[in-house]
Amino acid sequence: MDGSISVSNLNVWFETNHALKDVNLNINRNEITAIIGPSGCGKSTFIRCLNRMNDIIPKCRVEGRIEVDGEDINDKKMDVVEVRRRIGMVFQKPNPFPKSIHENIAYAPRLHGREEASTGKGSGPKRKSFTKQEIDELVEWSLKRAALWDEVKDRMNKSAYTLSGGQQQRLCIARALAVKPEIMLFDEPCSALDPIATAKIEDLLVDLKKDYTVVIVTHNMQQAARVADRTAFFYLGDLIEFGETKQIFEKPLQKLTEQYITGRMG
Amino acid sequence: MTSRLVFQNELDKLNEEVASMAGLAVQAIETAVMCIVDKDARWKPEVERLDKEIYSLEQVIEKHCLDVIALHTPVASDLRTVSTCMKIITDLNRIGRYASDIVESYEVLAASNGFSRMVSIEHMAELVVGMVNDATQSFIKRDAESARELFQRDDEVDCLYDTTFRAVVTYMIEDPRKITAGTHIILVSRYLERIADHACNIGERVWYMVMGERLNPKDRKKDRESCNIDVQKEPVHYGSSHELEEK
Amino acid sequence: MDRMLKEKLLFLFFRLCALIVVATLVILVGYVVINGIGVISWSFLTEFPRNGFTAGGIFPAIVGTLYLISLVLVIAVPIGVFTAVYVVEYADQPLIDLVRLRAWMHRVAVRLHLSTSAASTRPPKPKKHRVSSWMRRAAVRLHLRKSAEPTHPPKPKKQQKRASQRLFYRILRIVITNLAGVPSIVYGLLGFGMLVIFFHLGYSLIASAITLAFLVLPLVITASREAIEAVPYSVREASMALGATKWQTIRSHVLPYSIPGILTGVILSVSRAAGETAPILLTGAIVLKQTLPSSIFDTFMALPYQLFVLATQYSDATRPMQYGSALVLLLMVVGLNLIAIIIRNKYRKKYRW
Repeated sequence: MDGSISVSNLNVWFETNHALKDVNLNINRNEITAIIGPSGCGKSTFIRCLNRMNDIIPKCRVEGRIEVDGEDINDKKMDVVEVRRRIGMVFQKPNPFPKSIHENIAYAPRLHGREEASTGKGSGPKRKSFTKQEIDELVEWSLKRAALWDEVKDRMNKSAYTLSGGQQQRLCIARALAVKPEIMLFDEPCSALDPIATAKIEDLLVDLKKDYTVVIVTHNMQQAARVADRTAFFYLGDLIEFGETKQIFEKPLQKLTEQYITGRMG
Repeated sequence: MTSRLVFQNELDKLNEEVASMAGLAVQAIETAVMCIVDKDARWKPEVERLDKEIYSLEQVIEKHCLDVIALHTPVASDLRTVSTCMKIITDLNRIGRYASDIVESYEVLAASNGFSRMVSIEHMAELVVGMVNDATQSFIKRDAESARELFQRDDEVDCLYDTTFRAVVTYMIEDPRKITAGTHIILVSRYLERIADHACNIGERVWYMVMGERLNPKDRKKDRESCNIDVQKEPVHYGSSHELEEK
Repeated sequence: MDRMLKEKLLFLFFRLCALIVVATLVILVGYVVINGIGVISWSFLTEFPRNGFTAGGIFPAIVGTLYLISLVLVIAVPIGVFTAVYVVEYADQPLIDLVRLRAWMHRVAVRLHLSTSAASTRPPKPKKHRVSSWMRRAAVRLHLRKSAEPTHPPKPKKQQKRASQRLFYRILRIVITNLAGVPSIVYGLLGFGMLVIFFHLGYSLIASAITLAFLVLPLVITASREAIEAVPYSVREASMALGATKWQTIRSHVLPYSIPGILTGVILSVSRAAGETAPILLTGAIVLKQTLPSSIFDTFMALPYQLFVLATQYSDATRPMQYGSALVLLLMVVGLNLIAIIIRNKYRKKYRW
């Protein structure tokens, strides 16, 4: 399992609005790639294409190839459920289910069952259901990986809403990790959190990059500067510049990028 | 369309402060040279005063730079500008210091009987003041090209220094009574040569600020071989022959 | 001072209006309670009426009403809830592909148009192929309109689908709202004509139940729809991002949390059904019966109908029974409404999103 993403000629329309214009981008495995840009530039639209979440929006039309491990996920024959299992997503506002903490994380693995010795990629691996013990272990593993275990281990049966905002967001991350994805997508994960919670999540992101490919959309440029290896700058649906974070923040090649980064756009 | 007005104001103020510090530095060495060459004692306290002012200005500007970095997190060209300012003020401070060092030799040189070495000092000083002026201008105008040219003129200054050094040593060997004065002349020309180096540093920083990359090392190489001036012969570009004579 | 005076006067006026409402309710309820409370006793609730409704109890009417509302629940709740689920969750997917339907109709129209313009000397078509004239005219009009339209470049397929879906969805919403406004007597007539006569159900519990079910369906749908829509979109999004299908999401995350809202709607609709007279009087309620209904195809007695009949056609001697029935009915309806309110309040506190 590679975990790299290759986007070619991606175009997205919302009715007549051309939201993303011919985007070509390669995301490397085990790296954090940040997507920055002003409001309405298409960065959320872009990241939602990566796990086909734009399919739920009725007015949306997506064209182009998005290859994950060589397979085009936009292909009609591709199983959307499988795509979303392999590519997890964490949203802007923490959205745990109104269930207990344990149930929040156990829900998805129970749904998907366990993969038999993998018979390859795509649809096909047979699924058996987990035993209770396996589920409990999986929940513990997920919470540890999301740096939340110590804080919740003695209240696993309490409602997820009793947690603070930062904890809820980490719970959502644990929930996404529980199905063992290869790629994790984060859509402005810290915008609703205070600075301390934000710092914890950023540390978590850097830790996650060892095992997963991480793509993060952020409107906070400093966050992108702090955690990302590579950064892509979008403006009005176009990919303006994409390169190493250091280079983008010290010597951007495009004038638009420079304007945006130094805060002199608009 | 302007945004980040506060930040922009801070940057403009920073530029003005550095420019005024550079102006003071230029003033300092001009005054120092006048003091030494024209043997006018009035200028000495002036130079010392300027040096103190330059020193305190360096501290103010450094703090200002740190404030901008802490509060406004500049990136890209803004970051290069601020880091350049921080480095340039060090060079300007050294220039002020050297100016002050130069006028310390005033008493000795004034007492000596008209050492005509002064002419080469004057010439060197003219070049060096020009270089510092041009370095300052290149910073204010953000002109990278003129910054690069400074290195060639630095070679010239180095040559002059070498020449002066050898000539004065020769005369010190011939007449031991001239040792004190001669040493001070060497010191003064050394200071001038160091000032020229600092002006080149400023130019290098300006190049980085504008272009975003370091200057090519080849441009910095000093070509000392071209400075083949025989100490016995008269240096052609100095014009009159009687400058090597003693009074 | 003038402004303050105006304020005070207006406030007094509003208070007065509110008081009138409260007073009306109090008087109404009070009147029934005062007159009926004396009649209520255990024997009143468990005996059959005797002596032309001057003695005995109202047991069969109570039982009839209870049977009725259970049947209504069984019919209306599943249909209502799943319609609501469809409207909220699936309305962007077409039930019928209207585009293909339109294209097919156009083809039919062309053929019809050509056939009508051909000579009329053709032998008359055999009966089963005969097309009624209004259909033919409609088809011709459609064809003419289509051929007169300027040829647009074909829109991308998805946009075509969306237009037809929106049309169906809009129709559905209009239908649901209008259904709520149909007068109950019309429902009664509908039930009579369609269920009692046409489907040969006769006067029966089932005919009344179906009629009442249609009457309360808009209530159930609306309440369920609001409950389902109250579940925030973020929960659905989160579930789908984890790889759940739409139905899995609805089953695990939407329905469980809309049940309180749905329940409230159900109970309110039941209390409405319990009190309706017009639909049941035309479809199955009878004045007097000595036995309880034996099956769903049997006739039954019901409280509202009994009250109506007693009040209009029987003597004053039956007055105690009238007030008794009114009180029992009132208590039943008010009781159910109270339960609905309690459930709603309890769950409102639990799921603050």
